[in-house]
Amino acid sequence: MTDNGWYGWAGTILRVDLTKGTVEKQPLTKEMAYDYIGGRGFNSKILYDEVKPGTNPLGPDNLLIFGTGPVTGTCIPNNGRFTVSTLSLVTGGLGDGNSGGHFGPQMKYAGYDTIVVKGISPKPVYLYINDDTAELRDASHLWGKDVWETTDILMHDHDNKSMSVSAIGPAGENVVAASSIMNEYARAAAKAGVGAIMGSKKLKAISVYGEKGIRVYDPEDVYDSTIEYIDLIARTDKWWFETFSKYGTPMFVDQYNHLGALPTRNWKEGTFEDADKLGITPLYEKYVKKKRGCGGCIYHCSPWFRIDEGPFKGWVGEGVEYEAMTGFGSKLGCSNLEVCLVAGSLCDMYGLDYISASEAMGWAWECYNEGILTKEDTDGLDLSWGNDSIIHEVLRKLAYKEGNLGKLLALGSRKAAKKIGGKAEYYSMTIKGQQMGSMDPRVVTAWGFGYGVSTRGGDHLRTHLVCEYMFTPEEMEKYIGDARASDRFNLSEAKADLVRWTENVRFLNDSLETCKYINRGSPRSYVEFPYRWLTAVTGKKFTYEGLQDVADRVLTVERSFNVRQGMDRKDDYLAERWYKEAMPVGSGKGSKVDKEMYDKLLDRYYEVRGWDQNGLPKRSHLEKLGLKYIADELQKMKLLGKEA
Amino acid sequence: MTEKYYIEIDYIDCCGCKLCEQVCAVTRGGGVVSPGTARIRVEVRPTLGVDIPLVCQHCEDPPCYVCPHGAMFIDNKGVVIIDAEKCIGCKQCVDMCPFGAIQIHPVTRKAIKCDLCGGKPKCVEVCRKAHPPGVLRYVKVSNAGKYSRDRWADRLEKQIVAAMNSPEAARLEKHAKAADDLKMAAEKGDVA
Repeated sequence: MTDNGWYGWAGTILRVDLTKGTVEKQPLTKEMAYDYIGGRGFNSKILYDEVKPGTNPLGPDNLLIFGTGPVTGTCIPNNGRFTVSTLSLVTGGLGDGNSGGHFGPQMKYAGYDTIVVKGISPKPVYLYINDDTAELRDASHLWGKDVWETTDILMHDHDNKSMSVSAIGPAGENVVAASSIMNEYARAAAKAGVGAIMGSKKLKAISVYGEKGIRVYDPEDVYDSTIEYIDLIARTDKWWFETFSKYGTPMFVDQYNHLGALPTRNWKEGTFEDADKLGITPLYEKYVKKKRGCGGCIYHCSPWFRIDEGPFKGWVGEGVEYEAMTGFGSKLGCSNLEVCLVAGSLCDMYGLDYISASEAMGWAWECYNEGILTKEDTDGLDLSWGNDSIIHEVLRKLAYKEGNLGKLLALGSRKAAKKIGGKAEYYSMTIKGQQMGSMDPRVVTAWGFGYGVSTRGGDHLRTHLVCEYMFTPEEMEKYIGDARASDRFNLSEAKADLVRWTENVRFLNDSLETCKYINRGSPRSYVEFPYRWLTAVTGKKFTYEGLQDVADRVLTVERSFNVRQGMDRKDDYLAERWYKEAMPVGSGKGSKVDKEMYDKLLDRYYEVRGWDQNGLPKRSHLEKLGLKYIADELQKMKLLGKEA
Repeated sequence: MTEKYYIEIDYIDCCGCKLCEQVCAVTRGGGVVSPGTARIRVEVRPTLGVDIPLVCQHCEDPPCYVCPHGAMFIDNKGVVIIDAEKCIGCKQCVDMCPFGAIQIHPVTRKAIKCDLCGGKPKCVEVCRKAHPPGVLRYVKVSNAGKYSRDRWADRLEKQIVAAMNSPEAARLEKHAKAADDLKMAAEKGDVA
């Protein structure tokens, strides 16, 4: 590589205009790098600055941004991640999806921190990147192909099996809300309808291979801190380190079912009588042949499976995880593990998000079983709980928008429910229209609050609140300022402080671009290593406090984006059912979310975030974070928060 | 003779995370972090679930040993090394290695390859830490294959025990009569 003065960051943003058919390189600025770090930080800032209110998510002015972080492609643990951001087709606000694999590192090695795509191409194209070469190429031969075929064809055409391909399948092409962008066959950037946005732009794929490389400032400390970190996790989280490496996320089927938080028959119940048929015992005895990992992974949580006999003989897949077993299993009352596995692979091929696809399906199943949807709506299909013979057919209908059912589900459950009206809306289990990870908030209450305030709509990963049960009261006192935050069975206002803090440290995962599973029980994993890594990788001295400011800044930029799109406090509540219906069965029996307490949490959360009681950012807070221009704009729009 | 070592690879269990490759590029990449500066590379084949680390095997009779300029040598521990000072960048060693384990550094344009980090290979260390016991192992050549043998024997062990308890093992009962047969034979003079 040429010495462009950057360490960690590649130093270049790639600007793609599909309408004009141009690809330009823009130098990264120091202010951008230091104030927003990278990944989701860059993406959200660019989105706020360039996507104005009134933009049609599917129009030429919406952006699709692929962002890596400064540690992507180094050897920092689990560095293989990147964020795709856009104006969400699902929530109408900020949307992003995060994926793993090797696509992020490849982008960096080719010399790009971020790829910003705008416009709409007159014909299908793909973006070909090989180091300095970055150009749009005809993709008419790829349009209509699924993700796996597309990936195979590009690798074959370019005679390079080491390249990384990020592509959409039929779901994205057909502008399905549940669509994802898939890289390396089975890694998904999902949520927000990112695949549909890419499809609306007629961008079929991005293929990237890079050897130009990046530089790190202090190679010795980059290496030493990596080894130290692995030692820390292996020592302080021994059980996790060993068990998660062995089983990956499917182990949560057994765990959440035991806790009574496994969504069952849509989200009616939290315990599934056949959970053991979907859990790790059958999965690992019969199907999983090996484990795979994303770039720089210190675990390898991704089970690679092959079905050797029976009706699904020959099916393979990867990354089939918790959300497939609960999404196509317990949520639909299906106890056939093979159906779930194949459904997962079908999603990967069609370019569908497990969570969003099964969200729409769970909703439809419940509506059908409650008599709201009839066979006319379902094209004659019987959506009875447990009828697993039609799950794959429904997925195909969803991806291709086939028939009445396909067209309805393609909207996502909130919009579909609005169309049907009445009780159907009650069964749409979304927040801001987006569904979160499958852990029932009536049982994991603080997680639930995190779902509510997440800037991308219902989402468990903005907080990924494991520190709630890992930190001691003393540690909570030290970092959160309130020891009560460690009491996982009692919801107190301390949880608002906890959620704010966790959102901040989780933002560091999304901006350095590391996997969230690396931070667990040790506070050092959240507060010490991120700044140490950044300093070693980039040569710019970072501190814990400084990074907290960056996180506060980006969270407020994201909030401001949503506020500008018309969101406020009313959008931060959970689905009605969780306040109204107590959990009917299982170990979570009787639990529901206390609305009064939830309101108190919101009050407290807005206060510590520097937003007013309606959730609008205040000028004082914005200016403190160097966001005067946002304060001015919000004031003009009469959306500025009231100072106390 | 000094004991010779090499990096043994577990092709079945490698997860394809490329930590080894990244660590090599960071610490040994000559200031450039890229797959092109890593002396170990991992080929991934996601649809087959196959991940293949490729690194210098430090062959006993190295096909790459064609350097016209005396830049390649085998040290007293059997490690095949390229002297960057002497390398002229002709790439013939790269072409000769059947595993593609030698690369041309993108900046210096000289040939680079694994030199076992002077006896403490960092790729092995990080792999052992992250994925114990590690799919890369720094082993004595005299122990080549031992790990795979042990692992396979451990697997077979269970199956053999199971087979010994299965009804088929009833054939062992035939031996009850065998003792009588032996006595009869002995009477006939069939005895050693």
